[in-house]
Order: sequence, then C-alpha cells, then structure tokens
Amino acid sequence: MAKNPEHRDLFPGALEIMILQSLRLRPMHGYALVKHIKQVSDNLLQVEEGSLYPALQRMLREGWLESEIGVSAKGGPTRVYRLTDTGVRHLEQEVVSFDRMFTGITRVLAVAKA
Amino acid sequence: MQILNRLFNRHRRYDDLSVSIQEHLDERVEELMEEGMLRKEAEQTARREFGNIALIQERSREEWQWPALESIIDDLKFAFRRLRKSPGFAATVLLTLAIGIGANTAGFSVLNSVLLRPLPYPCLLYTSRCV
Repeated sequence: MAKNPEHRDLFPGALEIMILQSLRLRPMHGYALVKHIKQVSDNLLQVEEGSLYPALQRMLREGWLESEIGVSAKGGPTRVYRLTDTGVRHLEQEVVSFDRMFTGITRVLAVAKA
Repeated sequence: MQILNRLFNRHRRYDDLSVSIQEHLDERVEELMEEGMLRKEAEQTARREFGNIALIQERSREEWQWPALESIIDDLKFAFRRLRKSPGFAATVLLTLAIGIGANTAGFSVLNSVLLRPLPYPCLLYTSRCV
C-alpha cells in the first residue's frame, strides 16, 4: 500500500510475529492478512505488500508456515498460509521475548518521564 | 536434504507466489468495484496500492536463493554467451592468455633450473656459480 508518513516502519521480527499470531486464529491468504492486521489494530498498523510477501516466503522457508488450497472471502479457491507446529513453537518463544522487551522499554520510558 | 528440497521445490514456490499475488490484486479490484469504481480504474488503483509487483516478486523469490552465488553464476553465463557471440574476440582473448601464460611458464622454468635450483653438477658452463 502507498507509503503513509503516519505509519512508521516496524522493528525487525514484528511483522513475523503478527503474521504468525494472525494465522494461529485461522489460515489466511495474503490480502486477508493485510486486512486482518489493519482491522485488529484499528488502522494503527499497516502492512505493506513489499514486506509481506518476502516475509511470507522467508517463513515458508523456515518451516513456520505451509501453503495450501483454502477458501477466499468470496468462497472461491485460493492459496492460504497455515501455521505449522514449528511455527506455533516459534511464535510462543517470540511472544515471551517481545514481552520482555516491551516491559524493558516501558520501564526505561517511565523512569525518563518521572 | 533440506537444501536439495529447497533447490528442487522452488519453482513450485515461485508459481505459488505469482498466483498469491494475482489473487491478492483480484480481490482488491473486486472490493474497489463494489465501492463503485469502474474495472479499469479499480485495476489501476489496486496496482498502485500494491506497489512494484515485479520487484516484490523478485525480493520474495530471493528468499529461496543464494543471491551472492547465483549472481556470480549468472555473470559467468553472461560472459560465456558474449564470448560465443563474437568468436573473433574470444579467439584473441584465448590466444593472448595462452601465449602470456606459456611464455611466463617457460621463462620461469629456465630461471628455476638455471639460477634458483641448478642441477647438482659442481660447475656448469652457462652459470657463473661454481661450488
């Protein structure tokens, strides 16, 4: 999608973790992922196709995802991405490490504010 | 094993990728048309929003490749193709290299057996060194 100055770049790994978490709910195709993340984040996050597709291929390569034939929003056949067991394990590790990072950042910012 | 899989399966991955991107665009076009756009206008908007399709595909395909190695192989292929297209130039290059390498080897061989590691005779006519 067109670059919007209001949307800043995500830090490394953030896109992957959001894709994994979204696919944990149900297998989705690329466009559904973009819409899902935009909708769930209340338009705060916008995934760019330029980062999405390379990220999906990288995750297929790592074995976190697998592509299969699924159903599109219109009911037609489409290619969807499904989370594998390896993907679930990776997601759980990442969530823990992200939580630690966010806690750390929040503490530092809180001290700076005080 | 995983590396071989990656090498042999990647064309299937490339096809999957093209289909996925096409489906993505189609779905966006339909959505825009439901919002009241004409097909042509919707297609243009969807493409503009998506960005550079060829570039995105290439970036995505690179995830399955070894870019550094494959670009060297491509360069070599290109060089061979160019040489085959102009045999005169190729012959000149080969001849220059052959004569250059040959002359150097011959020169060094003589130098090696005469000055650096002479044959084990006490004194030879063609050297100034006598033991």
